[in-house]
Amino acid sequence: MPAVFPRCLQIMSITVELEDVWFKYGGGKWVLKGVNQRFYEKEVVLVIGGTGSGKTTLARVISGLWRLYEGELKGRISIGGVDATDANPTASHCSASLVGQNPYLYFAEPILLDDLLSHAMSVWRDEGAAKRAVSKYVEALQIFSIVNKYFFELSGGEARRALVAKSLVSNPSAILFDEPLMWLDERGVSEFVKLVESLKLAGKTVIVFEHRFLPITRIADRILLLKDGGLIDITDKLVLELRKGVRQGNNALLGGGGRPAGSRAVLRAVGVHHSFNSKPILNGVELEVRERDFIAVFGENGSGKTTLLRILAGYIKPKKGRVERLGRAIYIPQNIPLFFTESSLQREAEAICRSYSGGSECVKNALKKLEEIGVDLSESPFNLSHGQQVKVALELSKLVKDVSVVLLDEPFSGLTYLDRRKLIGELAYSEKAKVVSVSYPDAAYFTPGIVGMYRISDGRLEPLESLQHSSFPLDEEFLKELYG
Amino acid sequence: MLRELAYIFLYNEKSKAYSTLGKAVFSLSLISLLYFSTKLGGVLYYAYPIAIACVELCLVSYLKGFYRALKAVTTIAFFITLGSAVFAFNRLLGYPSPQYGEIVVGAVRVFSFFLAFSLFFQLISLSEWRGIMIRLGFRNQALIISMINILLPLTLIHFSEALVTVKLKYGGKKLTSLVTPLAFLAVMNSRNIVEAYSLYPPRIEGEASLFKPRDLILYGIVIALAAPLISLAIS
Repeated sequence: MPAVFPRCLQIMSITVELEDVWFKYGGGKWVLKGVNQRFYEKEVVLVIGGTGSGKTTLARVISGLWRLYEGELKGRISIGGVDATDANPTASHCSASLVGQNPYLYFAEPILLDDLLSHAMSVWRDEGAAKRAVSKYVEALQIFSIVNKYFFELSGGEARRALVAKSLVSNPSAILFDEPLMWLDERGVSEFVKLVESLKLAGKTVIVFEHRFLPITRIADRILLLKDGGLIDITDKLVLELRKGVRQGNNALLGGGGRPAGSRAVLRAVGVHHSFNSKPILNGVELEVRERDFIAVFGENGSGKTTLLRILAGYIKPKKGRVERLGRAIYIPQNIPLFFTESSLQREAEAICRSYSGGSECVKNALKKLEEIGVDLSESPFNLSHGQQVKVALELSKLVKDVSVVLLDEPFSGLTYLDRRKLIGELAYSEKAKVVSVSYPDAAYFTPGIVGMYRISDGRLEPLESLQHSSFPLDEEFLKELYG
Repeated sequence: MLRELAYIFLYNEKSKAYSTLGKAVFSLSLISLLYFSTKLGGVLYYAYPIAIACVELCLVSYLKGFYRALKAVTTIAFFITLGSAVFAFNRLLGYPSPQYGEIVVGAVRVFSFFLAFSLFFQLISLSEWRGIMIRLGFRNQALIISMINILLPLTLIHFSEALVTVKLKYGGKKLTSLVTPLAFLAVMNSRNIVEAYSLYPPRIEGEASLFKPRDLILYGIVIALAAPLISLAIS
C-alpha cells in the first residue's frame, strides 16, 4: 500500500525554481507551456506523464541540456537561488545533476574507479579533493565491490548506482533521474528506492521522471503530472485512487484463464540445461507452449531469460536436454529497433515476404494489416513509438506462415501503464503463441490473456502462483484520464 | 571464445605501477626481439620464441589472473594450431610446406607476437593513449578515443542481439541487413553520449609518464631477453 504524505514544504529552502518556463525545439511546437514549480531541499518529487508529454525535455531544461538542441527557452530557472537560465550544461550540472536513461553511455574510462577519479579531477582540479570526493560517494553508495570493474560488466542497477556516485561528486543540491527504473528488476528497483531515501536523508532534492511510477509513490513527497505542457500536483488524487484501488482489487489478475480445448503444443523444452563459462544458467528447464498461448517468464537481470528465449528460438543449442518446435520462432528483442532493417514500413513488409517467397499476395496482405494498425507505410520504422514498433513487429511476424511462436524480450520497458495494457491486449489477441520475458512482475498486473506465468531463478523455471491473485491498484479509466 | 579474446586487449589496473614510456618500450621491444630472433641459429632458434612466450604468459597471468589468461591463450592457440595443422597436413600429402620444426616454431612466434601486441593495450590505459595523442598534437582525436571506448562494447552487444533477430526474422537470409539497425542505434547513442559528455565532461588531459621505479623490472627483462641477440651481433 503506497503511503504518500505531503509535508509542510514551505519551511524548507528552495533548490530548483521554474518561473513561467516555456520551451520548444527548433521549429517545433511548445513542449513546455508556462511551467511554474518549486522543488525543495530534502524532497522527493515524482513527475509522471504520457509518452511524449515532455518529461525528458523538462529534465533537459533544468539540467541546461536544452542548449544542445537549438531550442527556444522563455522564463526563468534558478538553482540554489542562482539564475541558471543561460548556464551551460556543465555549470548547471554542478548544482542539479541529471542521471540519464542509459547509464552505460556516461562512462569515459573503461574502469569505474578511473572514470570517477577522472570526473572528480575535472570538477575539483585537485587530486586530493578529487580522491576524497570519490571515496566519500563510493562509501555512501556502497559500490566498493564494483569500482575495479569494466563499465560494461556492470548490471543495469550497478551501472545506475555508479552513475549516481559520479553525479554526486560535484555535490549538487538536486539530482534528476530520467526513467531510472527502465531495465531494472525487483532487486534493482528496491535498491533504487533505498538510494533515493538515502539521498533525501543527505539533504538532496530528488526529482524522478518515470513511467513505471508505482514503486516510487511510496517514497515521493509530491507527485506531479506533466500534461499539456504544464505541471499539475496530483498527489492527493493519486493517493486516494491507490487506496481505493487496493480496497477494491481493481483489475484482478485473470491469468491462468485456461487454454482452448484441443490446442496443439507448438513448443516444448525438455530438461534444458545450459551454462556459460562453466557457470550454470539453466538447470533442467521444462516448458510447454500451446497454440495461441501467452506465457510470461519473470526473472532478475542476468537470471537467464534472454538465454532461454534464444534456446527456445533454436538459436542456441542447449548443453543438455532438447527443444521441440512445431514450425519456426521469431524473436523480438528488448532493443526493438534491432528488429527493423529497412527504410520504410512498406519495404519491411516486402523484405519479410520476399524472404519466405510470399509473393505479391503476402505483401498486399501485410500492407493492409499495417494500415489497420494506423501507421503510415512510407514512414521509417525507426520513427515509430516503442508500442507501435512492437505492434508492427508482431504484424510482420504473423506474415511468416511457418512461424508458430513469437518470443519477446522485455517488450514493456519504457511504456506507460496504459500503453502496457494496450500492448498486452494486442498480444493476447494475436494468433501465434507468445512467450514474453519480464524483469519486474508489475507488468503482470495487466495480464488478462496470460495462461502461464513462470519465474526463472537459479536456472530453474517454476510456475509463479503468488501473482495469480495480485491486483493492480489503478483502473483503466483513471489511467486514461491521467494520460489524456 | 571471442569474448575471452576481447578481454585480453583490455587495460589492467596493475600496470599503473609502470610508466607509459616503460610500457611502450617493453611491448615494442618484445615485438622487435621476436623479429630479430629469426637470425639466431641452433637450439636458440627454437628456444628463444618459447622463452619470450613464457615471459609474456607470466605477465598476462599477473595482469589478468591465471584462469582468464589460460582461456584467452587457449583461444589464440586454437587459431594458430588450426593454421599449423593445415601446413602439417600439406606436408603429409607431399605439397610444398615448411619442416615440422619450422611449423612449430612459426606457430610459437605468431602466438608470441599476438601476445606482445595485446600487451600494448593491456599495459597502456585509455588515459595514457590520450596523453600520447595530446603530446602528438591530436587533442580532439583523443576525445574521440573516449567515445569509441564507450560505443564499441555497446555496439558488440547490439550486434549479437541483431544477429539473432535478423537470422530468425528472415530465416537465415539477408544477414547483411543488420547493419541498418546497428547504424541507427550508433547514431542514437552518439547523440546521447554528447548529452552525457556535456553534463560530465571527460578529462581530456591524458597522463603519459616517462619513468617510474618499477620500469627497471621491465627494462631488466628486455635486457635479459636481448642479451643473446646482442652477443650474436658482437661476435
